[in-house]
Amino acid sequence: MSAEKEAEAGKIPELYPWHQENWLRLRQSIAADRMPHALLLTGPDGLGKAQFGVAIAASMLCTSPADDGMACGQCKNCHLFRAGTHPDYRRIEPEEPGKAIRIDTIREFTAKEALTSQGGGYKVIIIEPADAMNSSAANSLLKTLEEPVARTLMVLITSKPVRLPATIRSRCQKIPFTVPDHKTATDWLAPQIGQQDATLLLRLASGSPLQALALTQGDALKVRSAVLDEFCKVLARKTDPVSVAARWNTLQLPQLLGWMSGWLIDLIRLKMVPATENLINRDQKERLQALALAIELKALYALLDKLLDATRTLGSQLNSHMLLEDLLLTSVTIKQRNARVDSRIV
Amino acid sequence: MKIVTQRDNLLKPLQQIGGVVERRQTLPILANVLINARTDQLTITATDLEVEMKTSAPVTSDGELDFTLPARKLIDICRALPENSEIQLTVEKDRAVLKSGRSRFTLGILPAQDYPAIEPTVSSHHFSVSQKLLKNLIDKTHFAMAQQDVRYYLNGLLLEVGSGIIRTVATDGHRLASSEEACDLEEGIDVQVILPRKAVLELGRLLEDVEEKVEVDISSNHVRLKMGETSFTSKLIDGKFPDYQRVIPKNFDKTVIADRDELKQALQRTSILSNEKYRGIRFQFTQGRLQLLAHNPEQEEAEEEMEIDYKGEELTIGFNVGYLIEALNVIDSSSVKLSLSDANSSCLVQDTKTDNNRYVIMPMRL
Repeated sequence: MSAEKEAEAGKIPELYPWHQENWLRLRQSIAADRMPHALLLTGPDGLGKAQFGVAIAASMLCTSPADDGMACGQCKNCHLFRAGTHPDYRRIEPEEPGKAIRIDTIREFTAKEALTSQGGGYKVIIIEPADAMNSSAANSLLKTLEEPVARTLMVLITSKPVRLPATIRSRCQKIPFTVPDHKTATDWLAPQIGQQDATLLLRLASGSPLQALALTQGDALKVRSAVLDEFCKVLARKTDPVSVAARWNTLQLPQLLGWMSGWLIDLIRLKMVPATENLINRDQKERLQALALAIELKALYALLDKLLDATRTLGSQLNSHMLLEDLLLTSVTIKQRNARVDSRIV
Repeated sequence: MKIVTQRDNLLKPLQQIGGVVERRQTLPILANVLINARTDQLTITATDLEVEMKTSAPVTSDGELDFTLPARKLIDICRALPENSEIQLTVEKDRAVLKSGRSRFTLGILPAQDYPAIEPTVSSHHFSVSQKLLKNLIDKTHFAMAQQDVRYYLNGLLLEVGSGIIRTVATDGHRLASSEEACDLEEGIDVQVILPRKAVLELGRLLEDVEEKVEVDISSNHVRLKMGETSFTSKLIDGKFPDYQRVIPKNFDKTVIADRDELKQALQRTSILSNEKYRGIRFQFTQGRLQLLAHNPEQEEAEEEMEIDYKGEELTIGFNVGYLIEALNVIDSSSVKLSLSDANSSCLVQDTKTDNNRYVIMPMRL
């Protein structure tokens, strides 16, 4: 559930354990009356940056925040915030997910930004994802971002800060979010997933506890092993790569590519150190070991490069079906060189 | 809970505040009006988060309740009902039923506590003036406000109250309009605020040409004007207005008196063939005579000559004709005074009868 939906559902988001350090630092700024007017929350997806942003907003607007700086949830301001109708809070996001934030939206905001706040306190604006602003939108924000009127807080959230113009980045105070250490993450995750392997889930989710938790909900894990089966079959030339590509095209592409790169990285590790325990897909070790024997290291690197290129084009206009076909057809050719070990793979 | 009233009692206040409700809202609840029902009257509030209007309607109600109803639909229903019909509004948990004669409408309601109404705050300044006076001050200056300028403090009207004078000033950086009026003010009041463009235009419509008083309350975030049953609240522009006094020229050696209508008509004719974008017109002042010249990129030309009262030396200067015409539009006297010094200095346009209204126009290099 996205942070906004949570706020709409009448909840002010809570902070996760790995947020505490950033939260403390911000509270010190507030206490010292040195709150910056623009924050840039960066870091990988799945760390709850958006929740953090909403929590700051709620806290800044709250009449009487609690001792830990969180919004009280009781006052009139908190009520309006939860109802999604707080007059001094604004959220800018693309009209449809994946689309750009347009200049009109930013212009409309900067015009209103010059007005006094309704409650007499702070005005808070969240822009998420900030990298969705197209270049004209970003440029039209610069003037306001540099010199907003007093008591304004702009929170920009992005997992891809490099996609923001340097002029935007340099006008914000950066708050980096990093993947929590293993202990913090497993301590948080373990009580919520019963008997499942927290370490495996975290590795599959590149360390992001929220994504790890999301894997246990729904059928993501089932899909993953089905997809791995198919990948092996394609390598063994036991199935048609084109029809597999058509089937994969109905799945979540970013997740799919993430899994594929996980397998390739594991294969490369197994190729280097056949007995290694340091695997992302440690539940699939035997199958991957067999595969590793059949493929050349150089070919693995080539495929991984191709995959990373494909990952970078995600979110662009590229035809995802053709992208998958290309990847799978390349996979078939790398396998061809060692065709004799076919039988040991599947 | 049941509320009973006449259709016309409800329709008029609704139409009065309905204009504030925007067609495309950022928040769904802004499509609604807030209704505070008391036993003898309803208070109705509409806001777009920039301006808020509040008014009341006489009713009989068997209880007290706050709720919100969709504004546009409510207005359309009331308007479509026959005149002088009786309206019965019954409010249940999340539905309101409106009955009149044999018509029955069920409307969705949203909770009143979610409505972002402006909380009453302590006003730091208070004064009252006649509606006519304030309307006149706004009418005389509002046209010079900037539109969507990055200098956000220009996208509004400066209201300055102090030392027995109320003054409005607007400028877009190319021209400036200032109007003032002496009036009886409370002791010790001295305040400067910038009203946003939207509020100024709304007030221009709202204020009437009558002697009745309007009560003005200014706090650090808002300005509130009360006219009878209706109150209008607006946010302010949070900025500092430029020092306009420095812009108004004081040292000039050339004074021109011209007939206002004659000059305006001559300008309008000449402007037809001026550059559509820059609208520049060349003014040649010689003893007793003004020559106007305009040409456009297609090499078409307009020339006009008129008699004026001028005794100084010859002067050639360019102006954007639109700015001059707009200033002439709001000058009441039959003749107009232009004060100039040279081709690179601004021109002061004034009424010949009073010094209260001043218009400064920057020249153009042609």
